[in-house]
Amino acid sequence: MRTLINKIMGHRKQDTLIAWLFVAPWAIGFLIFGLYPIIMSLYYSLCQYDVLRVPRFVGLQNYDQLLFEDPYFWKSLWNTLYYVVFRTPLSIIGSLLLASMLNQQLKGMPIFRTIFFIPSIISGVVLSVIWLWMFNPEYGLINSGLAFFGLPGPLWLQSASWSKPALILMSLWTVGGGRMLVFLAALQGIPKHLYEAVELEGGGWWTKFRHVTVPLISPILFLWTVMEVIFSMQVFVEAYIMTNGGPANSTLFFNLHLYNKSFNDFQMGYASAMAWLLLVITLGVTWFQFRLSRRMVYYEGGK
Amino acid sequence: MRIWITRAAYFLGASIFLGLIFWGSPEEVVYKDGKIHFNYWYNVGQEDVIPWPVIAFNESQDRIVVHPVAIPWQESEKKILTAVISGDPPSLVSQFVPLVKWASRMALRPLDDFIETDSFDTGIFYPALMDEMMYRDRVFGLPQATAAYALFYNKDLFRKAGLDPEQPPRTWDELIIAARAIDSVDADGRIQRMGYLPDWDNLMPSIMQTSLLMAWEKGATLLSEDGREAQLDDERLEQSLQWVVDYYDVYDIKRVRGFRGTFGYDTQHCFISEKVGMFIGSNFIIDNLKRYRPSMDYGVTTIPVHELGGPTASPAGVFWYAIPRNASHPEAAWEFMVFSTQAEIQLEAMQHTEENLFPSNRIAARDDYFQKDPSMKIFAQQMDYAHSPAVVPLAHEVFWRELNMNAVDLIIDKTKTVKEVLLLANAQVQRELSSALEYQDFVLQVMHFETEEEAP
Repeated sequence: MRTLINKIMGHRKQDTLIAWLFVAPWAIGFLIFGLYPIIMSLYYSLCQYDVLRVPRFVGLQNYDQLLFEDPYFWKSLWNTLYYVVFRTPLSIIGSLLLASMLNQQLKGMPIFRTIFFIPSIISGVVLSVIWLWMFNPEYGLINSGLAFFGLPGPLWLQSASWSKPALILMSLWTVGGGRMLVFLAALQGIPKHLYEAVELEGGGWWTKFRHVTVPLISPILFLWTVMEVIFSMQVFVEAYIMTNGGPANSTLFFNLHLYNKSFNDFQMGYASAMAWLLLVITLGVTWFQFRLSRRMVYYEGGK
Repeated sequence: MRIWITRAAYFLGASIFLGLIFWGSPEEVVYKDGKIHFNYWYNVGQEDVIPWPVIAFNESQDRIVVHPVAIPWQESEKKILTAVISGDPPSLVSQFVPLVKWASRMALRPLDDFIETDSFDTGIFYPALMDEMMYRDRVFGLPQATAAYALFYNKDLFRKAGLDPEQPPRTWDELIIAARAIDSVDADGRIQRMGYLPDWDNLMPSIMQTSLLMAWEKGATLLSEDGREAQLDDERLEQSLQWVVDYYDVYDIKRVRGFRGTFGYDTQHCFISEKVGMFIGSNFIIDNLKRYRPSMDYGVTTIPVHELGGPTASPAGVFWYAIPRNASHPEAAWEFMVFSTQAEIQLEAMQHTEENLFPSNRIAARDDYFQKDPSMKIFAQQMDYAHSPAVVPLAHEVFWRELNMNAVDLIIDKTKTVKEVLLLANAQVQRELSSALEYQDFVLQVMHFETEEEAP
């Protein structure tokens, strides 16, 4: 068999065949469960379609309705962007601060690192239920704490103006997670002699941070900013479990609206159109970030 | 080494090839007992128990075996959807979302032929429930059970407030007077207790409990007779919502929101935890009252009306059985449906099941079991005035999101007027309804049904 293949194909081609065979399990999975649904969703976004019946081609009608008739599309987009704009910098800065603190040479540091990492392994659903109690306006931990200092606590999830800040606050629970570990690794990779050089020149901690730490970890910071923006755009679980979009649609995020349209209303065509619009928006934001990064990110090896 | 890699690659390739060839639906389990076996997907909440009718049916005969499969209710619709598209669905499903949502999408098998052959009398069911089983003049399901509603009131709180616990409110005006007497606020202005909440039911915030009921009592249907036009801007619904706004007007709405934020399920339900003195709920909550607050002295009475002797209305939440299209054993499933909707089986089910629902069979509800228990008698009475919660069946989800969540939030926060809210809601519901109708016309056109019977 092998000699036969050798004769027909020659060694080079045989190598290619073997390579393809190795790639095959992933490639087949990707084609069937990745690429095919992606292409079909683009087609369905031009259709009225509820899965159970034949799709009806309607051209750009779904997009037209989304952009010009559906008030919840803009509302959900606004809610999502609000979440992204506040959550991304807060989570990056929070993780960086925590990583800097855990980068000190102290005894028992691995224990602290473990303690700060633990919260991030709790599943989103459990976390949501715990925070639902923390945010309880009358008996919750947060408002009880504020009351102890004589401060009036807001209504958090019961108020249209406080519900989004509440969810952002809750998302900061995971500042000690994977992101912090990566920052910590990056901080430890900074050569000590650079800091010594600053010290010789008489610079303090701020100079070290501003002129050594930040430039040297800027590629990692940039990468995580891009990823955080993409993750935050997909915010869903918290709103689905804790508020179901309320009060007054203040936590109706893009993906929750998409979920309602697809799995409650069975409007898969409309939901597909929403998904494609989200992709375009995310691509746009990411492109903008890359443009900005040219001036702000320092690559040691040059480009 | 290299030869091993090559061999591994061939092996892998061959496995994938064979895998693709034999890729298909898993082989059906073959029973060799000569009986018909079929799967029945039913919803479960807290209790994962085999439904009583299944046990009784399997014991009653030896030709058919029903295999009950418990599906968490949150997952149920998605699972049924995939099962129907796969072409190999269970032979029987039960659900509580509007049947039309599924029937209109051709996911269910019409039952008219079975009804005709067996001369099955659908008159045994409450009309409001049976109406909901119809789509385009054909029957697609049978009502399995229902939630029956009435006004619950806490007699201890009535006594504390100086009210006569044997004289519950009969009209909406009397309800306001009783509610205000029960209200209690602490020294810091925090609400400790409210007499009544117009938009809360068994589990969650829900507007249907008051404003929709009041509109129904006044005769509003909120949908045109031909089913093509949503009429949420009906002035009777507007007046009813205004009543809700006025009801809340005496409170600091921020305090109300803080108070509502303390509610939860089970022990934390507002009525069970005695934070609310009266609420309109279903018989479903009686088991929770027994379980979590057996000492509570409460009463059940009819839903208030606008004027004494005036028309009354009650919500009902039907749970139905239906046979998905392409089901493999429709006849056997039908036999089970008929069996389990008989009066005696429904009565037995009530006695054997915790967290039970109310019978869909009117004859069962006339039994001593209900008539002797004063609260059950009230539920049975209320069922005669039942309305389906599927007000705009083809746009049901949007209707509920608009009225349940958005409308109340907007009006009690005074962000918009009642009129504005209803116009906004009506536009959304109408858009959904028109789009559903257009799609339906398209499907009927392209599928070229040979006879009218075949069309959904």
